[in-house]
Amino acid sequence: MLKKSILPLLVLGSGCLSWDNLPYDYSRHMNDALWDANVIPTSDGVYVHLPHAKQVALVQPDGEWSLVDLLGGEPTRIVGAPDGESLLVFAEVPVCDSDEPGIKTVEDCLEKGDDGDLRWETEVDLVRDGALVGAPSPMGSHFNALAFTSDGSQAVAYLDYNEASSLDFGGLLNATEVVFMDLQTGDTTPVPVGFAADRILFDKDDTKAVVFSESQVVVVELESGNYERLVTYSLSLDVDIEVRPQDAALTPDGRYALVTVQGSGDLYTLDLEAESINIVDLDASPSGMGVEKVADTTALVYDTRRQVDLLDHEYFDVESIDLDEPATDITIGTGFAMLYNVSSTNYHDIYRLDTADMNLVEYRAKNPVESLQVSPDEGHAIAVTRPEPTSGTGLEALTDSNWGIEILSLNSNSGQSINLISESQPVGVAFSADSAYALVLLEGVDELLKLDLYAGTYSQLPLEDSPLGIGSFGSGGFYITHDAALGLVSFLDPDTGEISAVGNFAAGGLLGGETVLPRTEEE
Amino acid sequence: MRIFKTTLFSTLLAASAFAADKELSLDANLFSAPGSEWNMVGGAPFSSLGLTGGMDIAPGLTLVGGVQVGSSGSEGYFSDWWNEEAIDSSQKPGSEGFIAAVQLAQVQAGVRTDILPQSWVRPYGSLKATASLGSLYLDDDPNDKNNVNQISERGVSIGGHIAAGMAVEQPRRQAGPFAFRGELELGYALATDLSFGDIGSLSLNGMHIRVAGGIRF
Repeated sequence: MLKKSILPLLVLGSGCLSWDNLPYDYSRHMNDALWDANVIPTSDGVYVHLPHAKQVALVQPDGEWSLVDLLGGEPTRIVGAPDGESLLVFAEVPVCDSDEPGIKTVEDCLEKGDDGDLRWETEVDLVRDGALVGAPSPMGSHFNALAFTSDGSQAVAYLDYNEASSLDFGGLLNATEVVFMDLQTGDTTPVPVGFAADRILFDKDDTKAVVFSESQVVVVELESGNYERLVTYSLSLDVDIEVRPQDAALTPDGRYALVTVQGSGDLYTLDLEAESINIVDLDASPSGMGVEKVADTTALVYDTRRQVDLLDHEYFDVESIDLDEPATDITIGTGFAMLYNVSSTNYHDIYRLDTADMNLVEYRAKNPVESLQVSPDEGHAIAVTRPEPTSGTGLEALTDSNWGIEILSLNSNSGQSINLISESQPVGVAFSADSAYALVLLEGVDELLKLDLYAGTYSQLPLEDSPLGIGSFGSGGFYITHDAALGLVSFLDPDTGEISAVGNFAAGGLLGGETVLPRTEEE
Repeated sequence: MRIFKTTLFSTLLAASAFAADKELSLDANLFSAPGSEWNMVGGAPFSSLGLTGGMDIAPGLTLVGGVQVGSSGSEGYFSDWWNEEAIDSSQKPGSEGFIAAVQLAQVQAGVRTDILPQSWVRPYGSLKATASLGSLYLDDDPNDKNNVNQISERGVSIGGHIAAGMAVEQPRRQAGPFAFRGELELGYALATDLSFGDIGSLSLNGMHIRVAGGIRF
């Protein structure tokens, strides 16, 4: 009776709005985006952080999406684990210490409780298959980054100060420790390692962690579960002299840790077996370092010097090779290193250095390099170049004033490349599993460019909306994020060329009301 | 029990002897929910228009019912130009914004009692049951008719509404066949939330202000 009488009347009354005339009398500014396009792909789908709703969503290629129940935890950052299955979520949980009755929400606590009754506990949650696994692990609020062992069974939480736009650590901050996590059990163990540790490396067997901090390097064992400090290396004998590691790497056999230092030409080589330190004197502080396994050597480049140094891992002798232009960055391949300059200067050179015979091949990009990626089979590299001040006329001027994509052939010694001019900024490059083509996204262009790496030709696939980024998904698939406020991720099946778009997920939790104190009853 | 029966029969007898006036009025309503979720749909406060009818069932006691319909919306957008993290704004979609709108249709039925039914100014109280249907609309590209992100969800709510007000009405014996009546009332609503699934819900608990003008005949 109710349905027959009232509901039709209500439907009639509420059916007047149409998509063409939705009312919006007010503009509402939000401090947080509805979703973060830095999504985390797993075998189930992609996990998306929803900053405004303080939620995490799992978006799946079949068009379904769901919110992950974090037991009231409000995510601040999400990190994918190396196993491709797990997600780690840094989360905050509101807790009210007031004894006043009837307090159920954060707002109640602020209203009825005393100053200081409301506090936020921080934790790391392990998520698999769209659900929380085990109990959340308590974690200091200042930790914002994770380093994983290669098998993904253990992680180390640390503070990456470069990523910390604001720190709210609620009183005292211990910046001298990191926290080791067993991802199977969720157990956490804080280990003192020195001030401002921000780089952690693991040996090839995942039996030791090497933690680099200011003036100190600590080796921690991972096998017993006690996370004991095996050895501590001091990088400075004078406490007045602070040695800040800039870059660090392990040699392929895991015996030596190499540490470059900010503002100094000293390269520390730490013998992890003999527990000794040696210092190699370089010509300057390197801007880039990469360890090449085939030749068992380390390449070092300098933003201020036109040279690349090769450091052998037996005697730690340095051999310098002159370059026409300085390089700032290194991308390591199998048996070679790509050297290029991504500083704001107008250098154009890209080099391929074959590490075994020190054969140097020069590629001349049309414009300064913005980024460089090597294809999976290492037969090609793609350099994205940026506009530069125009010099010359005609096609030269056109090239200068636009973005570019350069396909470098890594199989020849002639520096062969294909140059493509782009009116829009490339925002994403990904390679097919067989390295036959690259997928390129351009800012504001609702098309996916499928670029033949051998011919330089391309075909276009239509996209639902302008893209923001691209990444690998599943076995050979890709995901594409789009600039759509309410959430849009496309999944590409490279075998069929089919693109399926999934939207709406950023509307999850949009109409959030008061913040419920989630674990009051448990406590 | 006997007193109750006596009172009931007296009322019914009085009602049967009573010339049952009817009324029809146009309403303007303002609803203010304390929750912040209404801000997202531009409904703080939320206004609606309606039509209310009534019929006297006893001296000073009127059966009332009506329909209210209203809509509101806002354009939400995200910007962090003042923030250091703005350098990564390409990874924070939504700078072009989105529209969030809601339309609410509500059916009300209840009783009203006028305290001084023969005077020009009549304080009154009312008690109504309500049933509401809310329609939520979200769209992040209004220029694209086939936008994937055109989202619409519906939610249903039932509840009640208690109010007190002041009516101004020409006494019936002076007015002839029609009498004009105006009302100003303040009330409070208690109702279940309008739930829109994973998107969230809108609370329909809150203060109401209603202004109405109509005729009795």
